[in-house]
Amino acid sequence: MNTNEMSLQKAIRLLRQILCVNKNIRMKKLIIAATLLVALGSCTKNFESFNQNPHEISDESLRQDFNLLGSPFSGLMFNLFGHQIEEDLCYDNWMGYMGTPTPFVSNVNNTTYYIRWNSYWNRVYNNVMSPSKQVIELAQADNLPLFATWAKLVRILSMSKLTALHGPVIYSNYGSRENLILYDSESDLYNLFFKQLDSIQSDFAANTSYGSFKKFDPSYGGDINSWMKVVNSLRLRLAMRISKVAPAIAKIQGEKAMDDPVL
Amino acid sequence: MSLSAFAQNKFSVSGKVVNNTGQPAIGVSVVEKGTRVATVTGEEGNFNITISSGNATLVFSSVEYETKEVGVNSQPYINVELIRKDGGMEEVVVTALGIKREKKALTYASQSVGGEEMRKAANINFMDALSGKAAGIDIATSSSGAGGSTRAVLRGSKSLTGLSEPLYVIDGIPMVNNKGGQPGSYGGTDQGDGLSAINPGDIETMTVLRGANASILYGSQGANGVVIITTKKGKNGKAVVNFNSNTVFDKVTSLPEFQYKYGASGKDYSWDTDAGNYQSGYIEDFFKTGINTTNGISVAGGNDKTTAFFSYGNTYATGVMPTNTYNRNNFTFNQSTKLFDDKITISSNVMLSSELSRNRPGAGYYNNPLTGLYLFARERDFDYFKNNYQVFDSTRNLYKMNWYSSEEKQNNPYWEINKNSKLFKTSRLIASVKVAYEIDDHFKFETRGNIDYANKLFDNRYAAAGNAVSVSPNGSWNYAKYNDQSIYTDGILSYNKVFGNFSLSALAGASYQRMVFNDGMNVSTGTVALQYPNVFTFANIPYNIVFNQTINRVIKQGLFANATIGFKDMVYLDLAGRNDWASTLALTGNQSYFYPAVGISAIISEMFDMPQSISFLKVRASTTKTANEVPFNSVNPYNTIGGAGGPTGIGGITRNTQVPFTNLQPEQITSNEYGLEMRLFKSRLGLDVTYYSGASTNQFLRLPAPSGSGFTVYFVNAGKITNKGFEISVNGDIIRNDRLLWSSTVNMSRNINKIVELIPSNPDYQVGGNSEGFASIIKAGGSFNDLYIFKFARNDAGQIILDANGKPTKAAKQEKVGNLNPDFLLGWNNTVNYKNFSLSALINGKFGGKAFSKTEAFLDSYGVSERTADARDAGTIPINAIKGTAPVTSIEPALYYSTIGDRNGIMEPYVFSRTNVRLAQLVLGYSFVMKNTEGFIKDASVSLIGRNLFFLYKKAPYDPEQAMSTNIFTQGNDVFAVPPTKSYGVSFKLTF
Repeated sequence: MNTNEMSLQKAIRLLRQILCVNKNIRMKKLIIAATLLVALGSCTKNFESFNQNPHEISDESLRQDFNLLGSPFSGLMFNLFGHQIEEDLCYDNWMGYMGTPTPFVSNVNNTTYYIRWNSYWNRVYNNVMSPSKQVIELAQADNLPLFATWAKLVRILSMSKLTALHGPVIYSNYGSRENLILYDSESDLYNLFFKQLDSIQSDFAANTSYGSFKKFDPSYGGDINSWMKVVNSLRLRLAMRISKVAPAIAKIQGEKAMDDPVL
Repeated sequence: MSLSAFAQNKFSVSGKVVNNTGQPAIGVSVVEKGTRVATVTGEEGNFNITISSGNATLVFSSVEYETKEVGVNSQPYINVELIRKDGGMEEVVVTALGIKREKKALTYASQSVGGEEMRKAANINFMDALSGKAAGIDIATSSSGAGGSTRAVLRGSKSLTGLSEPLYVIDGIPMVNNKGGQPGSYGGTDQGDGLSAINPGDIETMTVLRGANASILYGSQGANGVVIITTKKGKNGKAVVNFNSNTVFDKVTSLPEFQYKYGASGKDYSWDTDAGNYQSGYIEDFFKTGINTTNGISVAGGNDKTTAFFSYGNTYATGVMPTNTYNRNNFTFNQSTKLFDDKITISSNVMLSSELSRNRPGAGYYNNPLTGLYLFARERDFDYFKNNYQVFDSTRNLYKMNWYSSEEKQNNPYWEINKNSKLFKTSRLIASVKVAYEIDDHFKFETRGNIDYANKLFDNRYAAAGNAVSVSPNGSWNYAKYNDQSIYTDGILSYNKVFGNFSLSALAGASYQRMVFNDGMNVSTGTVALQYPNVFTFANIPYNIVFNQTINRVIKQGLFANATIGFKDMVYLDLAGRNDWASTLALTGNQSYFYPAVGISAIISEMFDMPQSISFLKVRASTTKTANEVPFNSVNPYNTIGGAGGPTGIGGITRNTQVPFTNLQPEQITSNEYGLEMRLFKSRLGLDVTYYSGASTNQFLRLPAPSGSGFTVYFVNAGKITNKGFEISVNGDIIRNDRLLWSSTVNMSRNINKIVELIPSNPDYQVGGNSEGFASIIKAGGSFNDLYIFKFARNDAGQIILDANGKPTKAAKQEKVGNLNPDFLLGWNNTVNYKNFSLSALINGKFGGKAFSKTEAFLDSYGVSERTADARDAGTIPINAIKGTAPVTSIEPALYYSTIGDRNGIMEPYVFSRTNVRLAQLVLGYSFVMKNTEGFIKDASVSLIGRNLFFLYKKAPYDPEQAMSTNIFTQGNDVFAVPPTKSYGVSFKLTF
């Protein structure tokens, strides 16, 4: 027998002494159980980070270079449009800009006014309203209020389109924690839009040289003047839309848009 | 042969030894009475012995069985059946964690199937071979052929988010079985699962533990039952070399019925009313005869200290779909060594496998060769499109697809199979090491470690200038590469002791499991054009395509304990408990959760004097509660990079808009079962009956948040799903004598599933939704996989309402027309041994339930089904309808079928009964008698195999078991899936 084997046997014997010769079985079990429990208790520490997806990005990482507030904007603007389903298969077809080469899905589809697919409502609430709510809240917390202003403008762009399709929508009570969330009537909505556009325009007017949008703005490269023009065109469009039902308001708002120095 | 001189005065006899359930009795010693001439039965219970004369007597003995003496009477081959000692009470079953337990002490249902039985019909996937051979397991195999996935469900579906499939365990250690993507209505290909990698040749036995009661020691993973695989090991004695070779031919069967006499007059739809005589047979000719060859070799042996086993297996299959191939290589090596006066046993097991699948067929509308093949306008020349599937496009200087139709779902089938390549590749390693230490006569400590690692690659390339809707002009590419890795370790201290009339076997242990799945990336160009045509490299991917990194990970830690207290071998009380810690519940305060189980079994035949006919009678009852962790990263995820970005702006961030779920709880499953086991007439007839009932509560449900809430998604713990039913297994020897043995097993089961409640405040809440006219729904008041479709709109008098154009109209809402799961499963397996011959026949039946075929709906709307030709021959179709106020009694076939068929039509006529009974397996075997038992070849056998041969009963116009996918919602739905196959083959086995 070589020395290695002898020392191994010694170790085994020692182990056996610890585990077996001690006839106090309960004690032994307790020791093992306690050891295991301690081992487990200490192991759950990394659970929180283990349950995070490492390929996702935290708000903390996004605060670097002030990316937190601007980064959702390209997504918000992308979702102002409905693309294939709500644009191509609806208005683009109905207006004759596009057509289908074959009777698509037995000719029972959006292009033949059978609205089988419609995701615009959810698109607006899930991809514009919900993330922009976070932007507005974070802008206030991080004291960068002009991002909130920008988000509010994008919201009106989106909501004004949704109300044109659906009539009353949830807007002023959006984000309420109440069980019952009230919709806004169209007359309330348009007045509210105009009021909010006033305040957006004055916020922009006071910060025309603000440069922080540049990195995040695929439309105008962060040029505040261009966004002020958007405010005016939107105001004019909303005014035109209500011109038959509320001509007095439409006249005031339309003229306000036309008179604005940046139009 | 010169050896005959040596055997001149001797007599050679061979035979087979089985136990009273017809399973081979392995390791039984066979001795010529009064001599020292002896041998031992091999893996299949076969033996060969050369004895002094034909008048000698053989003595069969083993620790497990009653000793039996058999006179040879100059027969060259004898069948011997042995009875287990004490009426079979010593039967040992491998239970959770690989712990061997006496079957009589178990308080829950278990059923074992031998490896030989699994291999009999040469199935490439071992789970496919289990169908009908064990009670209560509903097995559906994907129609995608070799390497495809399997769905197995025990005791009904229990989870709304999980797959409700059992845990697979190899030698006590959980195995990874991740299901890849599955085809849906629009297309896709079965991306396989973890089962196909296993070499069926390595399986010694499989044990099915049907309920959570049996599997509590595995924790929540075992809540859907466990399939335990015990692999082959080396045995003490001379090395045994086994070689086997199977060749099986597959042919498609149950094709839809087509017409070839009415054409399409240049259009897509074959709705001519003037009959012609057009080309036929091209659909049948498109499919090839699939050839599956499997060759395997194994070497097993050892001495009293060390045993070892090595095997290599290769499977090469060509599918019925042209260009589809599958190649699998398996290496397995295991060893076990005893050290230090046999106190310590170190064993290890390494399994390596590689699978390579090319052009595995898919299903659905897009990029599926079968749509173009089936819908082909009948007056056209198919051979022209077959021989010229691509034509040169001089404007682009490349080849483009040649097909008459520009429909989104139609392609030239030959373009599809030759130009659009699909590659799936899996390399896998399962390696484990175990150290067992016999501390003394009562205490034993075992520790194990295991790694299960798989590397997967999916590479689907669609050539440029193919289908204009589904493929970009420069080609499309879907690429995914990821690893699945599971590390498992445990330590178990066990204690066994008898105290007078009482016995105690107890264990306590801890386990740690770290699973990192889907760790890799995928990129899909969709219909965004590649930069340069037909080049599939990362560099060629357009800038606006996002490369996704994927991961899914869980750490689970468990502490568990189990004690079985026995009294006089009559009554056993079983107590078990487990506490889990799951990383997916971090931050909720509920990451630690405990669940208990208690069971009792009583062997009545030990307690009371029984009539002579009852050899064994046992009753059992158990109740358990288990909990299930929730999916990864659902408590409070971060934001994702990769939203829309602009040409000058940076890539956008998609913000997480889920409500944080910090009071999330684990899902809970309770399960009760009651059983009776009985053996009658000297164990010639056995009966095992189980009734079970269970409820799943606290289901993890994902709900869309109300539009005005500020969030988009939230999760709740809610719902209650119940499953109850019975499982009956009867086995017996119908004929048993020295020459003939006919043993038979009947397995039956019934499951009743009920969705008692989902979201109480929202009774209309449902999981699952409409997929192009087919909806498999889970909704309160119904049961799992209720089928909803659009029926005809009818008036109160039951007349179908026609619109102004005379078209049948569709009901306003989808209506429930039944459930997709069968009500009752039946498997009847027979084995007849006569002399050297053995015959085995398996009849499988599924009763009740619905099946749905959108394929039939399409064939009708395109006017290519036989049905539409018959209707045109007749001129009109009788209908009980009303148009305005005028009753209508007949309708023009084209108008009728164009209206109801296709996608999203009136699917009422396309719902069929799922009931079917088939001859699932027929195997005729012959074992050669070895004249010289000392020779090189010890054992040889050959068998003829048939699988899925014919239906004894079926109502649907196709095979209603045809499964386009194995996920939870598309069961019983067929959208241009590959038709099922009928298989014939031959198998050889040699033992050296």
